[in-house]
Amino acid sequence: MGKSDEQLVAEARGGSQRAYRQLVDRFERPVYNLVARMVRDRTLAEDLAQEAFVKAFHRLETFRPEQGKFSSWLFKIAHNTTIDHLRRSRLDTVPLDAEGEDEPDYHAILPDEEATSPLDATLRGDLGQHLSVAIERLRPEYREVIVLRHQEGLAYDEIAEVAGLPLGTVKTYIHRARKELAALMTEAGWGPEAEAGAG
Amino acid sequence: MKDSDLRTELMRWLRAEGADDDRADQAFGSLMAAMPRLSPSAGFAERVMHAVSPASAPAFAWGWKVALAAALTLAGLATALIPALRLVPVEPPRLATVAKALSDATGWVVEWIAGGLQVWDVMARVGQAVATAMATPEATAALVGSAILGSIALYTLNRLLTLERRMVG
Repeated sequence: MGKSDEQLVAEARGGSQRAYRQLVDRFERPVYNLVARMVRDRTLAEDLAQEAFVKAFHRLETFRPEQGKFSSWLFKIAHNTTIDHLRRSRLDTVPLDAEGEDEPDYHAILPDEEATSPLDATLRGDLGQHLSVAIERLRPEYREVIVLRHQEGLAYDEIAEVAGLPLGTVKTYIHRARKELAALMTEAGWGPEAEAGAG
Repeated sequence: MKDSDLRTELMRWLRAEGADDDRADQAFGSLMAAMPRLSPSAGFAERVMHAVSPASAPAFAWGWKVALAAALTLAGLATALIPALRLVPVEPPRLATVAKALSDATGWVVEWIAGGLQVWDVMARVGQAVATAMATPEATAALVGSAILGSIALYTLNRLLTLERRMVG
């Protein structure tokens, strides 16, 4: 049986790059998947995921197993890295008088969800691809919580910790995301009515 | 999961969602679990490990600095100790004597070779002249002076490079 995340972290803290390599192998796909869903740009997602892993490596000493799972800690670093990058890119292009709001506004930071992304172009065809495209069309904060909840299997409180959102907001986002996705899929001709019509 | 199974899951979820059924979350979860995750390109982990490797680079740089400092210190000490050799009771062979012996030996060898090769005769005379010049106290002093100057120049260059690295960093 393989070593637990916490065992590998302990070894990596002791200077074992081999142990950290195992952690990278274990989490490269989940972290990349989350970041790619957030930014909808594969090349950028790879850069940001790499940055997140490098930050995590240098901050291993700050990880406290008693406060939560390593995966949640790593997802939080990936989330913050992505949001920081997008906030910086926005500052490069947005006039100064558009700033100054205290509340984090994902709409303003994350890419325009209405625009056709590079991912959209490659994800077309069968049902799975249609679902992917529909997820791409969701609001960015919805995309993130959906991926964390239903692809990475995080609990609501873990998602709240990773995304820095209140627990109630996380539940609301997930509920609304599902509703929007259902509407998008039905609109695209995948609803029960279409099935009945075809039958 | 096959495409037909995926369709079944989708229908189950959409019906539950349309009826505001509590099982919609579970049905959607099953559907999402069947969705492939996006994957980074090949070699991603290697690139990450390469990026974290420079963390150990400062240790190597520190090692190099210590080695260079030690070498320069030894060179400086050795240069400084040369005058002290005059105080040693056993008189060391004088540089001029050694140089003269070498030049004599060179002359002898050259003369021997010159018996068969005229061109070496000319070379031997040049070598002899140079060796004789080197054997003088002035030439010896110039050699020692050059060695000291070289050490000082190396030390100064090292200081300048260290300062420049700090300014760039």
